[in-house]
Amino acid sequence: MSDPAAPRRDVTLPELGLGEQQVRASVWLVDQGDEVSEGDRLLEVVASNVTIDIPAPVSGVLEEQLVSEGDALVPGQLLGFIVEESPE
Amino acid sequence: MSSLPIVVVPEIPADIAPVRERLPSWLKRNVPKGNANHFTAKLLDDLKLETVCDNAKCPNRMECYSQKTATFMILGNVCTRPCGFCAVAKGRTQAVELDEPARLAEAALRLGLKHVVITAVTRDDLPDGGAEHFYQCVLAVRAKTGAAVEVLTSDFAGSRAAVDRVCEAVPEVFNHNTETVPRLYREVRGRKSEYAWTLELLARVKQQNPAIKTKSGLMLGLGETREELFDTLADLLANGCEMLTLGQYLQPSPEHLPVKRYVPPEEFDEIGRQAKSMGFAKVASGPFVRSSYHARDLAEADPESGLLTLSG
Repeated sequence: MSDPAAPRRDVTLPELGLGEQQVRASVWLVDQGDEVSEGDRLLEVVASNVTIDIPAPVSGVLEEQLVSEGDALVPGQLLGFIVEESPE
Repeated sequence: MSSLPIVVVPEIPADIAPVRERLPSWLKRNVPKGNANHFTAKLLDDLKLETVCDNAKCPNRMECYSQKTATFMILGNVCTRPCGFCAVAKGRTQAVELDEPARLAEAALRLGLKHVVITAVTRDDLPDGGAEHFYQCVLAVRAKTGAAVEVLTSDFAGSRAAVDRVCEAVPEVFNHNTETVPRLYREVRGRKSEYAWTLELLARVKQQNPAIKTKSGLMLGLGETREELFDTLADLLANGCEMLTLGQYLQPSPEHLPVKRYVPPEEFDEIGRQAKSMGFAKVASGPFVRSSYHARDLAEADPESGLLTLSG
């Protein structure tokens, strides 16, 4: 179980610089409940002919996935939550 | 406590099918860093300029915009040729904007470009195919910025006079893409495109002005064989082509030609080296290489090596 006092961090879709191209969630590369380190690949997203892995913004545990494979996405959209590692 | 941002999730356009087959790992891009991306996009928007990066859904758009560079697309954003590989819109074309050369030059100045690439939609509806507009754009950019100019033109529907007019502007580089091997020409480029004319066009540029560097590019993965590819490269060399780009074809939408094969980066490297040894002065070869990807780097590459292997 994650520490209820640990900070919970949003994982959002960054601006990808793809202009008007439609972006979709392709596949989660980390399961809910898995530990991740900052920069780890979390979610693969696809546009018309580009594939980009969205990295973890912080280290912690991926508490929740809020989008599913095939979902259309927009910059700023909430993708999930990471419960940050508690300080030692 | 996290707050849920309000976002509008767009409806799924009809032309976007559910997630297709995943691309190989070597075709992944990184999330762009910094805000230069926005700067470039806003500047282009303010000056009402089109780029092939946007209109062709180029996979390098984010990288190039982040580096404050772009490939300008003149003569509108609607093309008269229904090429099976290309995402640029087809249909009713727009009037030629006489102030476009000045706006383009202004953008090149504000972006600080030292090497400006200008391409265009194919305009079979114009008597000169847009050659005069190309000429005016090259002159305007040069006068305003002093930058080197690379043109990437259509085939001008076989018009020698159109090619000659663009040559009169003396662009540093004249690029005309071969796109694919002759067996696949009609399928990939449409019935109006002629392989023999592509070769003749490149040869004609050198005849008109030997100082202009000629360049051409092919997409790999459309079903060409290795033998066909190297035969085509030999034809390009025989017609005076000096610079070559080789990149992976990527299907812009399910309605476009399917990818027959994803060529691994190491094979691009090997093909690039072989092309260089055949006699091309400069070669860029890699999955994400496009006609104008790192165009300045290629144009300024040391002729001794002259090989850019760009694996993204």
